[in-house]
Amino acid sequence: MTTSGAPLVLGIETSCDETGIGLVRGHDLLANEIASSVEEHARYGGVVPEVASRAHLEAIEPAIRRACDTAGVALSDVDALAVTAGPGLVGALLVGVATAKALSVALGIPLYGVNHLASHVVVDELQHGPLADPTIALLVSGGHSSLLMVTDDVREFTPLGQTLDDAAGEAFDKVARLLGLPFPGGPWIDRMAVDGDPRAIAFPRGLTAAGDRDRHPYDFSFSGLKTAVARWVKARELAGEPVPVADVAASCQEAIVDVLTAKMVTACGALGVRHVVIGGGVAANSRLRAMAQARCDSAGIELRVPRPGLCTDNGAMVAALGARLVAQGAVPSDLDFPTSSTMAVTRRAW
Amino acid sequence: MILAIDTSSALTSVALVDGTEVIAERTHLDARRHAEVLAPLLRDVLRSIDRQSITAVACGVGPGPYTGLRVGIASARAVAAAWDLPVLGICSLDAIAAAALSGAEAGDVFVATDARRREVYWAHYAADGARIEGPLVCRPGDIAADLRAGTWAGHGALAHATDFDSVLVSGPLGEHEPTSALQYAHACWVGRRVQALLAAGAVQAAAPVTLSVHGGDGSSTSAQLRGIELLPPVPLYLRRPDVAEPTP
Ligand SMILES: [Zn+2]
Repeated sequence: MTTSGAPLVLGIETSCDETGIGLVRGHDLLANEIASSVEEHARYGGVVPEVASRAHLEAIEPAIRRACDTAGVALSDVDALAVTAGPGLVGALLVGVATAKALSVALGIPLYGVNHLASHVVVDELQHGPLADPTIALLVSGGHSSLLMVTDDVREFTPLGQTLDDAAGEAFDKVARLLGLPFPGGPWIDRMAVDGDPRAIAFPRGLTAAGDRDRHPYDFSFSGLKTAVARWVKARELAGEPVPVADVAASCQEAIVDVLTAKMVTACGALGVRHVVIGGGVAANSRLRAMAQARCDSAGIELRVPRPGLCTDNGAMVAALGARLVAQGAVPSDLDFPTSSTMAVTRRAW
Repeated sequence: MILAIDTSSALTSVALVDGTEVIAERTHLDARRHAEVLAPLLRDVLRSIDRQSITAVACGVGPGPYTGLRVGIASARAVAAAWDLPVLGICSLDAIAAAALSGAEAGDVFVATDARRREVYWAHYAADGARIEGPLVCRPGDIAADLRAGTWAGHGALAHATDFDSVLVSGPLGEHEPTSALQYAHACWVGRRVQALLAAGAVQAAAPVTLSVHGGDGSSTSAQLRGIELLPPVPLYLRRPDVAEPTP
């Protein structure tokens, strides 16, 4: 499949702490520039919105220039723009949205204000081609954990379930902090767990008991896990025993990944869907990828997970969704479209 | 011709300025919707203009409430990147001073704008428009009494009128100025001021010394900025981000 004649789409992502600029032609990824302020947030133990907004403004225009250089194109070659309109931190989103709108006016090209969550799903098309219809998407990041039914050639996003409290990535961050690991915690837990025993400690699997399973078949809950880990670590410390960090990391990771993949596969069986895609920063977790693959293989489900660099927030995913909107002849956004910190997952674009 | 943008206050303002002549200006007063109104105003102002005649983008770099301020600066930088033009920043208070001085009899003028938290951003100008002191941020009552006895402009001075002896409320409203340019920084005055500075041979500071992502504290910022009038398109934050490091 060649998409060399397709429109050139520039995507802008500034919903959290990564300034991402992507350039995409059809399903071909030409550039994916990322400037991260994560190190500035590390000492605060979480993303500080004002620090993120300041960093976005410093980084965004240089990142656009670098992306054009990498792709070997001029800004004036761009045919359409896409920008994350939500959900995310409003002050951070506004830097990207203001930039995109001004580029749209100056270049005289259409602009799509798009949903960050939908772009986490569609980004996989850059690696594995068009998504199957229907597909179930597991979206797992620091801000979101949800199961979605994706239908109508990626036009419809229907929520099946979501987290009732912490997001999966948030659970990783909180457990990492309990273990004295740096922020963001996900990659550290993944790394520490390599040397640990995932069966060492039986941490709770939220909403998997019989009654909960009926009422919340596809919902998640991770706050109980954090409490259990805190209690377990505290008991060790009170007993004057060392905390086996690797075992705690591995067991806790196992609990999170077990619930995510079990509910995903259950949804496929119950709804008769044979294709799943996993997106979001937590999709970079090696244990999640391995367990999802094993369970999908034995259930006869086709699993797609983008490579880790496309899972975490980036501009390519926004450009990928923009490219799809262009290809489907979607109506561009009006110049006065708002940003939305809580943009509904059912919404693909403004 | 210069395209000028300012979003340092509740007013979102876009103008085209040629020398001292305002070719077009559009403004919208709403403290919370800069990112929604700016692009349509930009499109309207640029309609029926040959963009080849635009030689630079000017923008007010504050001080002002950060979220709105960033919208204008990001937009100015994006237009300049698209058209391969320079972006020239000035302190937004300078635009209010320029408007005030254009109507007033010769003499010093002071400008104060709203900095929230019961504080104002303020600066002191000589009759020729040169900034003598500021921009600074503090409570109005903390400004020396002899300065507060001067002639003040800006919506911050009006909002704290009891702290100031003489506040310029409204000057002559031009056809392009639906709100008083003595209260809010108007892009037309940003553009005029930049044109005047360029005509006088001013060059742009490469970087406002230590003013970068985290800004600086008010006093050192003020000292560094005095006499530097064409600034890079970077916000004058004047305050550090409002965060505390977690106590272990
Ligand atoms: Zn994300």
